[in-house]
Amino acid sequence: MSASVDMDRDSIPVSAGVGLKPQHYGDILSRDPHDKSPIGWFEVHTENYMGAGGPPHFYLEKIRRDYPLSMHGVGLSLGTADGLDLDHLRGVKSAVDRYQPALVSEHISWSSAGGKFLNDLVPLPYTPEALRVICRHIDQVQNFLGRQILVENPSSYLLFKSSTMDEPDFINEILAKSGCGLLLDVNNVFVSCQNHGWNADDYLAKLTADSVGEIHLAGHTTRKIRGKTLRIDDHGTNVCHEVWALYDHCLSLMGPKPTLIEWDNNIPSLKTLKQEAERANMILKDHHMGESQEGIYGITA
Amino acid sequence: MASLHELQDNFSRAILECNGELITEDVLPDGLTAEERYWIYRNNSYLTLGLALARNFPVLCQLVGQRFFDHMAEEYVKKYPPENALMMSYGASMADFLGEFNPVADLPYLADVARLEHLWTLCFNGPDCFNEENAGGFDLRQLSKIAPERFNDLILNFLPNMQLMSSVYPIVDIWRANQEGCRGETINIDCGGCYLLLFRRAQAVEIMALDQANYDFLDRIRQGNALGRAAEEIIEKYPEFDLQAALQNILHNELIESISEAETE
Repeated sequence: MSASVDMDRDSIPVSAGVGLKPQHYGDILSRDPHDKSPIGWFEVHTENYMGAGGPPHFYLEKIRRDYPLSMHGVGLSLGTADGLDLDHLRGVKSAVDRYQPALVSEHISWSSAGGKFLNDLVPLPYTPEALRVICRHIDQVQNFLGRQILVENPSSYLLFKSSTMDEPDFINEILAKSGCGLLLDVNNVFVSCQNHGWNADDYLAKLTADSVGEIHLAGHTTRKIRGKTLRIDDHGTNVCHEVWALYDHCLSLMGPKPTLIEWDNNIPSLKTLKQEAERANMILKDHHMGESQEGIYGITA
Repeated sequence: MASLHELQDNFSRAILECNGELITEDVLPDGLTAEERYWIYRNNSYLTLGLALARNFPVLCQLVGQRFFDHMAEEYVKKYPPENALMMSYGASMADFLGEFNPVADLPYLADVARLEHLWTLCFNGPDCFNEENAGGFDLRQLSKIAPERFNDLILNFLPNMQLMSSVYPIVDIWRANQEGCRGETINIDCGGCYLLLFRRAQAVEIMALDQANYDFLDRIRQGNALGRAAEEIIEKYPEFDLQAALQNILHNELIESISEAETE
């Protein structure tokens, strides 16, 4: 049964989507066709669909028939000095070819060195050398996949002494040199700015706003180390109110964008995810209205 | 200044060898010590890799308890760090690791439990049978097209996700007793071994206990032996072997993906 007859499955709508989790396959496939506020789209971690076969593919095939899809990788390690893992890249390509997602994304970070994978998104030093390496790899991925990708701004808990650029400049350089788009993770902006004492408004104002193809929203946790609070990006709770406010501010800078609710640990019910998505949709709607007013009255920000 | 390659190599070694000194020179302290910042990354890697292992070895985790499992996972990560980003298959060396891990030396069945869980994962993520989508499985009518005198030359190609394993311990009982909703059963570890067949049916992994003759029969077929030769060898080894029942078992469980005929000599 196709619930949303009018839904275009091949582009991501400018509305809220949620991260797809195996716990929710059943709920999603048995949903009420009269649901007034269906989930607009789903995003998966590409790596979870890189096995040869089995239930993950069985369910994603079914869900893909009804919904637009975004594939978000966590394993390519775009910033590695070693060169990309070509087996992994081939795996990404076969998943992308199979599911034809509207968006494909990865991270501005690195995860593997010397043939070992750390299973974490480690920040890069912001140097001309790191910029060359990551741009070369983004080029390689975009050529291999035959399409543009988005790259996500990192959350981080340390900075390297060797950095010669600030993070927004580094990101803008990547966007300009490689022609990829930006997946703006608003929670990551908040977490990194808090952790490093940066001003989030300045950070956002610096970014090349028209490169943003998608926004991520997620929860994070805090940890105290000798009286200093660090924000840890764990995707295990609701989006906090500061991040909602920053999201609102982002939309006023760059207009409404497809927005994903990410929740990867302590995964709640689909209902909770939908509530978060509805909250994002309300904010998006305010900005959609703002946009049409701009059209009517010619108001510029 | 360290090159990007050197910096990443140092960082990676600092994490995997738990030696923060390898990286502290490169990190801005910024209100904390560089070592404290390193530890956030060090803990994050071990935490997420430990979670990946716990997902892939839920029964093992249940058997040794979460706290001990976490400790064991850390030691595993140090010895066998992942070599690629596919966490669904991380832990392939768990059985070998447990075989050499002194704290569990008096629990020798754990290695076979790990072996079973790894095969379960391989079966779960293994290739789809090419006609799985039709839910029909292998079309039995294909068999009726084979002349009876050619049956001995038949090669049965099993489901690509099918797995076989044996153990001198009753690991299938241990595995079942540690599934959700059936806890607390006491199992006598000396009650005998098991011969197991794993295959996927209706998007679920099934684990089936076989007798040794049936297990050997499937194993010989899986190795590419023609039906006649496999049957002959098994009957010689196990005179009581019921060939008809064994074939029915194969058909009933829809283990065949396709058939082909061996070249006649």
